[in-house]
Amino acid sequence: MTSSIEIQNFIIELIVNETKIDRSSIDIDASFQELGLDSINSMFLLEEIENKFQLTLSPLYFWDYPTIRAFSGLISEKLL
Amino acid sequence: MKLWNPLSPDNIKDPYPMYESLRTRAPIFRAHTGEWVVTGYSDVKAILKDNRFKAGNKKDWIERGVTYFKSKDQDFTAIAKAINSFVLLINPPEHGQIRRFIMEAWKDHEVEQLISENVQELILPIKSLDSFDAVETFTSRLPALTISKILGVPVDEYVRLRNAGRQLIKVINPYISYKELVLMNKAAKEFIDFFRELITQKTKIPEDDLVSNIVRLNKKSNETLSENQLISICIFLFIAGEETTISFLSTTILNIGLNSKLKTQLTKRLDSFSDKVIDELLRYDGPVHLLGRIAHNDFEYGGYNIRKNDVITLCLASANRDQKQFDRPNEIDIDRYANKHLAFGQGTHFCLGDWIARKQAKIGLTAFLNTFPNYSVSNRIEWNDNLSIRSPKELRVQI
Ligand code: HEM
Repeated sequence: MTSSIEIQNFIIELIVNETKIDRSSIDIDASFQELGLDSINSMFLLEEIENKFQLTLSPLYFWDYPTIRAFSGLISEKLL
Repeated sequence: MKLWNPLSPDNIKDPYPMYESLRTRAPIFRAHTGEWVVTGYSDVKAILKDNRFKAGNKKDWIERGVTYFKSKDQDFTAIAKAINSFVLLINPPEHGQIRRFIMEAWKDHEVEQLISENVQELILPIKSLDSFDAVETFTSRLPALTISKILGVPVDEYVRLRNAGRQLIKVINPYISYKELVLMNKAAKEFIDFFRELITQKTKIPEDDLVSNIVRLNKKSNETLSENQLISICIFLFIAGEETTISFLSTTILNIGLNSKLKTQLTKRLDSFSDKVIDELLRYDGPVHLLGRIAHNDFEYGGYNIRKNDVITLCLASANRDQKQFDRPNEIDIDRYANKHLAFGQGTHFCLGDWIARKQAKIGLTAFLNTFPNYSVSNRIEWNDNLSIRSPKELRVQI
């Protein structure tokens, strides 16, 4: 079982590594765009998430679930 | 419910309701995916002819992607190299130079005999079967076999190149995954190696084929193209008519198979697949659903402020069902009058292969219907998971 919180932390970690934003300033309700993701780096992060949780996600996931909270909620449902 | 949801399996299965609600509610729509989605006939046509909207948004994107992924130790340069001179993705003045070059090299439009032979060759092994997948056995082979013979590609290579082509064409999809990029890069490498070798060979011993013509023409021209440009041009000539024709043949076999009235109408006609009929089939369910453009600078269009580098997605298949342009747009009317559909695009990048696409459709579909007059198909089709060029993964036909 992977909790929504664990997923959130994993995604925050990825975004911190990618964008070098300070971890403490990450708002889980900010849009991925505001956090510095674009159509290229999001492709890489999506791949990391797919590999970590053994999932296949549509290339539009970051757009369809555009915040860390919404996205993590969805992944945890998928993992149930 | 999102108005724009181009990857949902339901919308890929039948995108027309999504297009219709966009046309009624927001014909120029700023989608949550960041791009402008344009669905009405008059706007799609106007934008295709408006040079403030440039082609090649995916080319820029791939180039940025190559740079980005270098920092992750992943090399996608083969994709950038392969698509570098795709006429579809470049803009004037370079576009005109390459487009004229292709037209000059490819003047021989006598291809009926060749297509008929290919169609017979492909139908022979399936003729006596009770059931087969029309995509694998017929629709995906015909365009690759035809273009191989035209280019001078050895016939025993055509299935391998077909497979690579079906990967690399994904470069025009608006949304791509990392895994797809990996496969596309592999396909790009295969193509580059293959055409480099073929061009070298045809330079030494020119024959009577399109690659030899390309090499000859380049030799005598003032502005000589580089080897990399020639390779990219050949790759595009191979793949441009592949997925599109596969889609058109498969979708049409499906649509006719599901519509017995239409099938009877067509069977009764002397010329079942006249230009008029083909045009109506292209309008009703043409292959190319989405085309990308990018704004060249800041400007106003139709009351909207478009910003430099905004991406615009034009829905051709939606424009072709616009009731402001076509009466009873959701019906197939094989006698439709003044059918100015946009299935082959419009303006600068208008399809260079419309003539050969029509001939392959006419000869291929006529033979198919004559050989299998009582074929049937199931409506439970799995579609390839993108909408740019929409096509069934498999098409099980029962005889
Ligand atoms: C039913 C089949 C086909 C359809 C529906 C189709 C559709 C299109 C469309 C819509 C465009 C314009 C793209 C844009 O404006 O961005 C295009 C361009 C093009 N097509 Fe086709 N096509 C088909 C078959 C073929 C074939 C068989 C060839 C032959 C090799 C071909 C070669 C090309 C080329 C070279 C271009 C680029 C022209 C330019 O950018 O100047 N197409 N096609």
